[in-house]
Amino acid sequence: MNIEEFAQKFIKAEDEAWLNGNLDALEKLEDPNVVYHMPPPNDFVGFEAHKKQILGYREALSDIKQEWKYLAGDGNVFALSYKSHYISSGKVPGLPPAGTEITGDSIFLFRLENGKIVEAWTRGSTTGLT
Amino acid sequence: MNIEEFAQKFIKAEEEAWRKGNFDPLEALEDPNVVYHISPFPDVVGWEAHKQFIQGTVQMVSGLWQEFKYLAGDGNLFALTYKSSGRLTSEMPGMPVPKGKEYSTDYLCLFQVKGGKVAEAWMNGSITVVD
Repeated sequence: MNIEEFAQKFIKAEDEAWLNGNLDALEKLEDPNVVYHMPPPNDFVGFEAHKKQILGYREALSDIKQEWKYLAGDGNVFALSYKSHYISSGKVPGLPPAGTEITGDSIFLFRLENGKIVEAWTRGSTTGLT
Repeated sequence: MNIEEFAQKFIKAEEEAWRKGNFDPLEALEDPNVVYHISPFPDVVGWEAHKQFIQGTVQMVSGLWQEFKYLAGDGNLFALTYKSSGRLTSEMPGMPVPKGKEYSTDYLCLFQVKGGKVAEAWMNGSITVVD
């Protein structure tokens, strides 16, 4: 499997996790100690933390729409663009009131070791959070 | 030269261009038809357009501070973080910061190299108005 095929498999696994709440496919592609470098101070360390983040957002958001696109890859690194759209449920402290539309536009970089994602970085912009 | 060495050379060339207005090292590392996808701005297509983008930004920002850091790379692909801050001295098309305001940016930048030169780049991140 080349790096673009891996990336496409990852996109399907992310969609399955976010849209259906099934994280089995994603777990197979990530190292148990994966580190996600999110905008400070929100790094996630370990697959369990990443899983908790996704499931937490699924509770807090509705009308989840996301679009991942493969940008480029070589060897053990690949990058995706990510556009998202959600509606806040208003149930989670720190997130906006119910009905607020939240959109995101970001870029992700992934690094693999031994066929699994061990590190990821993301930066981007969001609207609707403040 | 491996991809990390190329990236470090690229960082020095960017700093030389932004801080001293010397574009020669950067021109040597970029394809004449390089494409920069810089959110939220329109695509910057071609070396000359990239040079003008840098020159234009330098003229519109006072107290410009920048920091490039290598993150990772493999084969012909490398990534950097880019942080900057400054004060906008005139209206900048596409920039979500009013004239006169101080701002900071925090970006992730990806570069694809072809034939030993940067051929395409993607940059996305946040722009925050500080005051």
